[in-house]
Amino acid sequence: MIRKIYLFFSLVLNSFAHFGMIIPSSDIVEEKEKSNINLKILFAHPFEGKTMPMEKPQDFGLIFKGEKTSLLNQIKETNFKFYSDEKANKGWSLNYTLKRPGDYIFYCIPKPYFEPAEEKYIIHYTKVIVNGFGMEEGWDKEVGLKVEIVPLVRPYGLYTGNTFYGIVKFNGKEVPFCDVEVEYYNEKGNIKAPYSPFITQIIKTDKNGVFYYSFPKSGWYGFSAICTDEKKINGKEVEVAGVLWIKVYDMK
Amino acid sequence: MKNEKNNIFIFNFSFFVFAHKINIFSYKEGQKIFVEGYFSDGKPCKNSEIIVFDEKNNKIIEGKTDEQGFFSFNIPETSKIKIVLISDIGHKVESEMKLQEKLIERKTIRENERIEEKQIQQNIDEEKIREIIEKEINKILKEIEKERQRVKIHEIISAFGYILGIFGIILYLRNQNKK
Repeated sequence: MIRKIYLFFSLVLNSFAHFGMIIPSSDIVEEKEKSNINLKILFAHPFEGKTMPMEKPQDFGLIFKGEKTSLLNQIKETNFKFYSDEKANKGWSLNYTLKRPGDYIFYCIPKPYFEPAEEKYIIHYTKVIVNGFGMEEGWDKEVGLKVEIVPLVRPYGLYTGNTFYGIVKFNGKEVPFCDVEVEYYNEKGNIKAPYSPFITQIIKTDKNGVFYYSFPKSGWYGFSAICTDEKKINGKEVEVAGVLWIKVYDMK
Repeated sequence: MKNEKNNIFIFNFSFFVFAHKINIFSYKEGQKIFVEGYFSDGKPCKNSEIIVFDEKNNKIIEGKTDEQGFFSFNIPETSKIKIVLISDIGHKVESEMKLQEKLIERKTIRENERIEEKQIQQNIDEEKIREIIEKEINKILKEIEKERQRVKIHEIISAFGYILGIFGIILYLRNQNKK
């Protein structure tokens, strides 16, 4: 009986989706004076405003003009407290200066996170794209992550109401009918979901592994394409997801 | 009909400008300024004209971007520059760069270098002067020594002269007495 009650509450709690997050202070840099950006790197429930402790990632880096650079030794431990948090949790941050024009793809490969309520490990391969000085080149390139959302729409310079679509790849191959979770980064906690399905919206990819989403409001959106790894860790299932963050602006 | 043609031309031109927006990016590295010309899709603005103006809007440098859209030049002696890029199809874009701090820095370095140079020159001069003085003094001392030696010989010769003179007088007086 107790086990059933525990399972029930576990299911309720699991209505919050986990998201690896990389949120830069700006997704578009046009002035040299503003070329130093800060990136928040954390693991959280973005809509519900709760953070989880995050160990130092396996790798954190950057793809610029086809070159991969690890920035793991430059990230700094930083505590984050979201609006529903009782206490701050460990995350990471990076100050980075854009030096040349082009698209900067920042990626994070975290260490497996064990979720006791679901009795599984979670690894969210997360990325975000920052455009530098008007050279819109590189955003559609694959990083080569285990699970990855490759944008089919330029992932910056998007208005509220625009439709984004991307292709989900697992080990480099398109994933048909894959679940893609979408969550809004409810930074201030002022957005209230009318019902729980509004917290995390779900899309399925089509037979070609492509999904579509139209943005209802300005702000940051996380897309998480969820797959299950072939390998288990300590006999437990491993959820592997490709996460992409996109910022949307109002047309004024 | 003419109007229609013009409209089509203007539409194409506008679209062309939008789709082929050119950008200029410049940065300082070492003693040089690097300029990169590119279209928004990342393609380089190659063989495009570059004109650099100084703070008084005088044309100071002219050139063309290479196959990668790059151009570079030495940092000029001015507080501010304007770099203009004109693509082969006539699109123009410009950027401004302040060089004040860099110039002050360079001036300070140069001033320091000059002071050091002066000090070195002064040191060299003093040393040379000392050497020259020493040489001259040695020459003079040698001359004095020679003179002294000459004086001694003169004295000896004159002493002999005196002695011979005295002997001469004595011999003369003796001869007078004998007579």
